Amino acid sequence: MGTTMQQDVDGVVPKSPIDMPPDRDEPAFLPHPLMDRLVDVALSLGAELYAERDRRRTLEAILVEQGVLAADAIELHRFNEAEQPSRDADRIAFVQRLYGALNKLQ
Amino acid sequence: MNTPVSRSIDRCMQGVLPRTPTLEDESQLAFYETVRNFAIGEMFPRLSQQLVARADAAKLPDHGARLPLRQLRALAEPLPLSGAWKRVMRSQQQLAWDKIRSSLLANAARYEAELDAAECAHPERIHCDPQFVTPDYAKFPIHLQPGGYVGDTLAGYVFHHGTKVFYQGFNDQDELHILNAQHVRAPADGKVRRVLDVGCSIGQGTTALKQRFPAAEVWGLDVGLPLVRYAHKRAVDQGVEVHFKHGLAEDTGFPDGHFDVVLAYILFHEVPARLFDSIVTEVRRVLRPGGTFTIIDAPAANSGSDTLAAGNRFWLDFDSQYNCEPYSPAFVATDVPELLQRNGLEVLHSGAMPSFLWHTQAQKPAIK
Ligand SMILES: C[S@@+](CC[C@H](N)C(=O)[O-])C[C@H]1O[C@@H](n2cnc3c(N)ncnc32)[C@H](O)[C@@H]1O
Repeated sequence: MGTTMQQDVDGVVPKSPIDMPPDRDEPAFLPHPLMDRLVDVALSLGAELYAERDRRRTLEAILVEQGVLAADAIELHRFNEAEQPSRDADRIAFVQRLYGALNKLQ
Repeated sequence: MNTPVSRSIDRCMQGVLPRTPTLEDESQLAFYETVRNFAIGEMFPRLSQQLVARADAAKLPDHGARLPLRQLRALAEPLPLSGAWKRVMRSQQQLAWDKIRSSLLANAARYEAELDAAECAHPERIHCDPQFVTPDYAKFPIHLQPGGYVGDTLAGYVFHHGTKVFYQGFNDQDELHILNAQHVRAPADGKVRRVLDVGCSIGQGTTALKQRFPAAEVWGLDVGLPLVRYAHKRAVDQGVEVHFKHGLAEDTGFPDGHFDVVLAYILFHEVPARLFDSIVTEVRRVLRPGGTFTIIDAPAANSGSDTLAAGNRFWLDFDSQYNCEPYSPAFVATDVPELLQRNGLEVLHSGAMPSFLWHTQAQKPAIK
């Protein structure tokens, strides 16, 4: 397939239809594959960080709008024992999302 | 405080744009959209300048624009910005798709039910052939969309969220599709009874064409069944009466002379060049004499600039190699008016759009 095209121009026809290439085929654009993965890490980190900022901004705006939040309430808050496990689970999932890309190195 | 938000909350729509199931996913996708804007708007112009500077230093003609691709790649290779740009482009694309898929998969059953419900509500407006065989060339995961247009039952939903990122915020309310519909040529006699949007994806252009030609029967046709099903659901939700058909541009199954107006918006650069003639011949067949065909797509060989700048060719090459755009280089090398003429259409106009695209309008000769 695509032979006409290859005669026309020197573009590239992918090898396999439908499936995403297995990670082993992921191109390395940077001097070491680890550096390519680190860019993924940095981007995911940015996305996670931004989503948190966005959520906090949303939350604080609502709370202030509704007169619920005092200016220093967040800074002074302590999580109680019942809240702590889900806070820990959230952090574990966060780390896995963030550094999962490193685990894909072959 | 930290209770996970239920993913089944309906965050509704923002105008005609669906919202992701959670604010977190929406924020992350907005972030990737901004990363894409940064890569395209800030990194790419610098990379282009650096490429030109290297070409000029090597005394290459036309600032390197005519270099064979292999040499163009070699010219870019030592530039650290080249690797960084490619990596950011590909990674933001992959990460955005991953985010979209994981976000939507959590509600997969609900989306499948929505598609079924729209089909039950208006079965007379969606036309599918259970015997349809998808050609292999249509199975590639274009733009790295997981499963491509045909291999994922939720491809329509995924495509809508993915193209939101792709359009960098300029098409959130189908603005580009509305602009396209305005650039579609109407027949000289003004008679428009039936309109076809060929390669319609999720029908954003189809509904925009219905707005432009409210009295006409408007059809969208696409090879991707999940796209067609989503297009139908979307139109039903919007209360817009249009038809969708699962089929092939090169073999639409419509009667001769059936349509007054046909549009192909960014279809051609995603099909193999060997199909160009058969698609145009088929469009000619289904058009009535005096009916019009408008192609809106990337600027191609006829677009006036004799040759693409080195940076743009580098990008095109990147897309074809690493962003699963296997067919676009051949399209960009095509003379679109010539393609239409050699297949029996009269070219009326070819020119730039007020977007990044180009449009070519033609008509089927009237019977003398
Ligand atoms: C970039 S999309 C087109 C966008 C669409 N026109 C819009 O308004 O957003 C290309 C579409 O062409 C479809 N396609 C590719 N080859 C086709 C063919 N031979 N016949 C019909 N549709 C085809 C793909 O499934 C995909 O939906």
